[in-house]
Amino acid sequence: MEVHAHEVIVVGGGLAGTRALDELALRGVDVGWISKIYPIRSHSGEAQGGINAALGNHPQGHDDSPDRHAYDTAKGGDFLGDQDAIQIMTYQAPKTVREMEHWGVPFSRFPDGSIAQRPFGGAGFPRTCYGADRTGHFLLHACYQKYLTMRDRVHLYDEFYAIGLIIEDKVCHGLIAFNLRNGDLEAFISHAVIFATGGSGRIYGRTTNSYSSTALGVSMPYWAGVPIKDMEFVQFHPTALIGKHILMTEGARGEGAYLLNNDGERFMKRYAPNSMEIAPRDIVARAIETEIREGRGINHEKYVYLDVRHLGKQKIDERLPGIKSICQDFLGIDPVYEPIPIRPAQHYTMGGIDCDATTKTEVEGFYACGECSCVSVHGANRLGGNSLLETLVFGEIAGRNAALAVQGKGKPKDHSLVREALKKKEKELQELYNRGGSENPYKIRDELHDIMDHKVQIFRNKEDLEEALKGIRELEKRFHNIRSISKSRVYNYDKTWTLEIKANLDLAEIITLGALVREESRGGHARTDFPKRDDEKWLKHTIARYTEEGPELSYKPVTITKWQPEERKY
Amino acid sequence: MAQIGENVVLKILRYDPDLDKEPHYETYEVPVAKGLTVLECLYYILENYDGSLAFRSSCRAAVCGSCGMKINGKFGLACRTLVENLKGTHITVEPLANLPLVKDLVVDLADFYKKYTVVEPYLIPKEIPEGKEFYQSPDDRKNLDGLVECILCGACYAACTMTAWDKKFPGPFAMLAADGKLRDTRDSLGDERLVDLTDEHGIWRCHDEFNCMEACPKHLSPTGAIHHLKRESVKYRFTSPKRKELVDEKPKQLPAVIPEALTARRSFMKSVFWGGAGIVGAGLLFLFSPLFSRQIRGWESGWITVGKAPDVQAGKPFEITYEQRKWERGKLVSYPKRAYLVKDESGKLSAISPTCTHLGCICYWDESIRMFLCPCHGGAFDKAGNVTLGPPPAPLARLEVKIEAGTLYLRGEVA
Repeated sequence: MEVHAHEVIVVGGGLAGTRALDELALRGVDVGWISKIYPIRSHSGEAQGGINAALGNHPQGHDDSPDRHAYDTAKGGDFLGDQDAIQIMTYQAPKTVREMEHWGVPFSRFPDGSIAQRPFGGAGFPRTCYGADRTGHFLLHACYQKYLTMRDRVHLYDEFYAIGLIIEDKVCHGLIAFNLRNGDLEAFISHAVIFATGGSGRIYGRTTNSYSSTALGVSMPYWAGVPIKDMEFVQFHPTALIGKHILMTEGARGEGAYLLNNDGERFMKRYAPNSMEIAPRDIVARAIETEIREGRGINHEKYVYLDVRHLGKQKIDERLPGIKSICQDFLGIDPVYEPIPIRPAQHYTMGGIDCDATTKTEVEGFYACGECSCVSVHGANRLGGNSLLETLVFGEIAGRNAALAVQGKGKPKDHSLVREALKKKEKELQELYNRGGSENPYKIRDELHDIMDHKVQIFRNKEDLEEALKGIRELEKRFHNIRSISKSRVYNYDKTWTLEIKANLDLAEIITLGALVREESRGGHARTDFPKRDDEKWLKHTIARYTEEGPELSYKPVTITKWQPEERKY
Repeated sequence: MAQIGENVVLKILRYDPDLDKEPHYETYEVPVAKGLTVLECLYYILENYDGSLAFRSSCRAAVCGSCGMKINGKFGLACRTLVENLKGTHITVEPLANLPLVKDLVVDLADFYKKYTVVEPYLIPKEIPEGKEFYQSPDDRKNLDGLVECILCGACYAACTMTAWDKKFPGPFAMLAADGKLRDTRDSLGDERLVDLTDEHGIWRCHDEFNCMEACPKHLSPTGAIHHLKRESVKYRFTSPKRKELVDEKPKQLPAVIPEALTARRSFMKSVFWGGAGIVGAGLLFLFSPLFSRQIRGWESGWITVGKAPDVQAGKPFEITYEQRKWERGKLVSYPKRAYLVKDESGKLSAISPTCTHLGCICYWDESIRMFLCPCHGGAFDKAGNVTLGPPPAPLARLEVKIEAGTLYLRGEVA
């Protein structure tokens, strides 16, 4: 049994986690960095379109300001976002983007040599800074490269699955991780743990998220008693390539792409006459889904066209080379000459671990940032280009706050609490992996996907949600009867996937329950039986806590600073 | 090609260090659906047949670089390889080469990541502008295209014969990253980045086999990057303040014995660059020794018409192109060729062939240091074609020149 001691432990190799490292290393803190995949493989690298900051570089963006950015973000989130946190994020944005540029991100450029910006959904000004359509990749690699300069203070444990938090009396003491290389459970003790584990998209079958974007990062703290927030708000990206559901960047529409239905009509004019294709994602996704439902999908099938042909080969090669090669690789079509068949797919988890703008949670020494957290800046619907920004801004804040909290404490000493937790976890896993039942866990996962894709999707209603909840609870029961898992010691992915499926089931239940109870339509949560937003009753965050009997819901007020809720028109 | 509804057979290299002494192959059948990828096949096997099958994956969109492996003998990404694009109904899947095998399709990447850090792939910025970004022109940014998109999947590393041969060679991907920072106008290290890349395990190890380019799932060209680094490092030797010691220092030679396999591979050089350097080399053999070449059937001999005679300044080599014709399968085929016209102080005109006398790469004239530079192994020649640096054993070949009625003619005669 191995016990590793570090002053701070960061979990997650994506942008938020990597950004936090710099703040910690800068202050001389000894860091243990845990990631279930090698950091550069993280889902942050899949982000394409860009990162928002009111730099005012765009010729039409001279009047842009952090306040305008904050207003757009609050309105885009249907006023469920906490406006104090939103303002912190948007005021930090220009500094953050420039800092990334100084770290080496190869942003695209305007003729005057400044960082290029493009229009994005729901933004009053073109403020999305981009590096072609590979912005996430560039940011992630620059942050990883920065990590390479501080390896003396940051110890990387890659291919370690964090599987359980050690929390006693609302104080976090560390965590237990599963070492893929040898199959051992190892304990990590620290004064602070920063969670930056990313989104939970793989609860859905039709998702743009990578295989690694699972619910475990949110379920783990949930099981350990940390409340989670607003899970029913799930973003569906309007334009995911059919078949593989791979993201086709919003940047395409930012550059001027059309959405066309079977009649060749730019149907967005009926849904958002002013913004057309660059309305916020929830609105565009609902528009596409409505077209499909009403039989105007291409050839009456379940997709519409994203058409970039009129942009011309040169512009596509220069600004959208990534989606061009994805289309060629996976569908064998060239978007220069053919329209891209797309359909909305799950894309982002607005909800997550409940924390505030300091990234602190209810549990002392436990911080959360990035997509796994819910600060909440995105409210009920995230604007494109704000997620990369959130990871960096709040990653930095988490790193700084954790560093300040642990300064001078030195490495924690080994104590009995950890050994006890380790033993308990070992027993728990033994049980999970040796149930010897008849159910194939992957079959259960497929059925979960089916339920989520059809019943907890863009348009929701009471009947569907009730059925879904029943179905999920049924699956949870069946999960108790799963077959025995492979005994292999080295790189046993069967074990990790089984655990992920368990986590997905639990979080799916919370999403569905939250959606069922919230009897209104707000942002990404659209109830056909309650089509109006109801500020009187529902302008509040949903909080879910773990109990033996299932999630327990409560509510929390929303912080409003400058902008009173108004009707969203685009 | 496996049809939809049929099964495809995957033959997968399996190895469990706890159970097996040696790796072995096992086969599995997977039903084919539209758009099925090799990665999805692997998941199908893990979920339905054998949970112990180990392979890395994450994004399934050819962006994260996790699932680099060898599929039907070619290195690439499992997520990007569609079953319907593969020939036959059998697919062989093996792990990346040149890296220690850990289990099944999982290799130990520690060395790979370490080599990435060796080239200092991070920006070491110039003085950071207060409250602003660095200004970089769109053209300067464009120079970075093809250098910053690498996803570190390891396909090039596994395909490179030089990484297999020289354990200290950083590998194509690392060179690509190094060139990306060298060309970045925001970086402060500049040419100093070249110093560590030019030792005997560095850029000169690359022998232009283009395996890395062929393997790269992002269609990048590490070979191109290495060529750029080579050119820059030769220039650096002449322009650096430390020039004297660098030039006086005996140039580091390649080991006397080059393995048979490597020399043999040269003959397979892909015709991606310059329409086939091998053909150019053969063409120049003709130019070197016309007596010999005349005996080879099908070679054209005698004077070649180049065109209107250009106005050449004394002391400044002038690049010309001409057509070398050759009989091939009963047909007369033309190949574009290059030469440099040189006028000496006395006004005498001659022509220099830019084919390096070391291994036949094509040199080019660099006006900034006034030398012919070879992009392959750092050979350099002065304006008369005499060797000034590097491995070339002889001066550049000379061609005979005549001008009649304003028309320039060339003939392959060694001076």
